[in-house]
Amino acid sequence: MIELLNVSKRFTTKNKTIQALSNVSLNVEKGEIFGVIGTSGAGKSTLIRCVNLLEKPNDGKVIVDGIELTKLSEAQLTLERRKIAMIFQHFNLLSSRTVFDNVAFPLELEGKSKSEIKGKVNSLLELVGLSEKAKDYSANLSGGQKQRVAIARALANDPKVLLCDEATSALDPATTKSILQLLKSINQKLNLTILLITHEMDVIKSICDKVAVIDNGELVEEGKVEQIFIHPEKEITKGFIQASLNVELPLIYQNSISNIDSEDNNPLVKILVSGNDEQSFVILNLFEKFQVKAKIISAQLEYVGHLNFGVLILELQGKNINEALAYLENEYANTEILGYVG
Amino acid sequence: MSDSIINLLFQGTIETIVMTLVSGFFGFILGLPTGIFLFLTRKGQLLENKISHQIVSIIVNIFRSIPFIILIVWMIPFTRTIVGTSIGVAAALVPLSVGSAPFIARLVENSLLEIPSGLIEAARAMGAKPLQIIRKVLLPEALPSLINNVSITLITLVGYSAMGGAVGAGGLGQVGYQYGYIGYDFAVMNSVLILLIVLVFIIQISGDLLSKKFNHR
Repeated sequence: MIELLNVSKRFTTKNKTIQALSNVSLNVEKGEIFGVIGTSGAGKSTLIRCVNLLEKPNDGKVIVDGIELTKLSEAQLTLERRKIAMIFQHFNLLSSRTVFDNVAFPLELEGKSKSEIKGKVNSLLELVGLSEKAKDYSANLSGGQKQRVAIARALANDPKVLLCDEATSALDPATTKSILQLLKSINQKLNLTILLITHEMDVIKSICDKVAVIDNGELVEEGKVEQIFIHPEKEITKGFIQASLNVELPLIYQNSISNIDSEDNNPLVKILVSGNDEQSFVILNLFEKFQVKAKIISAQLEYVGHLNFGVLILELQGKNINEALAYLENEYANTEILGYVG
Repeated sequence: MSDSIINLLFQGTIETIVMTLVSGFFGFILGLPTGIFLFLTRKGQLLENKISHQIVSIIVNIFRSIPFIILIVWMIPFTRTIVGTSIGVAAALVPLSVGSAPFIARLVENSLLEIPSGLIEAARAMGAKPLQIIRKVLLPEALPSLINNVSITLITLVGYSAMGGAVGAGGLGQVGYQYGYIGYDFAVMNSVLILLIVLVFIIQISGDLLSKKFNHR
């Protein structure tokens, strides 16, 4: 549905040239939610703006639904953009218009009749749950409500794709969740293709089917979300995953932990559980195989797609500790002995 | 005060109001599109064009640097060809409109610069044509600020029109000039002053109210 072929973009300022994108190719299938993750300045904003040609690439092709946008004239492009919806980090609602008139905006551009606009806008406001706010101005809405209006506005022209530019980055965690749920339900209901950019792995984890990692203007890693979570190859990808798993040692353990491995001390070990069922039985396995009791100190586990995924910190007690540690190192990725406690 | 003096003050007030409003209107007819053009041709804007921007910008700056009293005199031949005379209210309208237009253009440009650039980007992303962006995004979004600029312009024009009075343009300026400068008449002089102050206050207050009414930010 969305295809970028060897897209490059350079920005030239007085003193230097910045390569914002170099040779980026990606392909988003119809009905997919595709996430691009990167740190700020990695080029993700430029990437998403190259899809609707708000930024014109220096090289490469952009094809949306079989139409090569990079070949079109400015006037043709303007019309084609009406089928490529976009939502933004800062919502970009018109302050001079009510909620209703904001959603009506793209329909007015198309020259739709008053009655047609009314029906369409009302049904869209119902879809995003804001029918009661139709007459309000955006200044009186919360961040989450503003983004809902922006989503309703984006859907007004029955777009082929939806581009989300850091759409939840200005929202609190609870609101982020509800907006992501709304995007997912729209994706399923309308079979709408969504391309989003973000710097948060949580966003990728909760709604994306596929993910690409962008670093320094290049796509460095790409694949199904589950696959990337379980076998991240690049350091930057691992970093994003780590950042989304914020498991920390509780304060009382931080104070008593030491490097001394003695008879009386128990090791604290951190393991990464990813995916297969066998791994989830870690506590049972440790006991059955080695008679080692594992005490859960801290844990974060959740589902990524169909896979159970997360981090456990365990305190191991028992005789065959060394064998148990060897087993963990063998079976689990990123097994790490944090230290010993008495 | 005699009836004839009161009549004169009344006449002068009406003339000043007419000059202010009519030249303000023509000033905006010239200044608004110029301001929009200056904004759109700026770097990074919709119709970015360095050369056109520079040319218009220089013309605007030249006209803004001419003191109004000099502009009136300098424009006399042009005024005569347009309205047939260089004396009176009609003749004053020409330099007043031309003098205020570049001022208005800069004010409009500044109003448009206050609009968050994300709104223009969003409109482009939705497939709005340039004219649609001007009509449906730029002007409505800048409206409260534009109304404030209308009051600033009209107040400036009250001042300009009084200056015009000195060279025979009519209005309160001429009344004040004749009865004050040539044979000092305390009552008339101060009446003129008070009328001008009241006029300015009315413009400012109604401008503020209107601007507030249209501001939903």
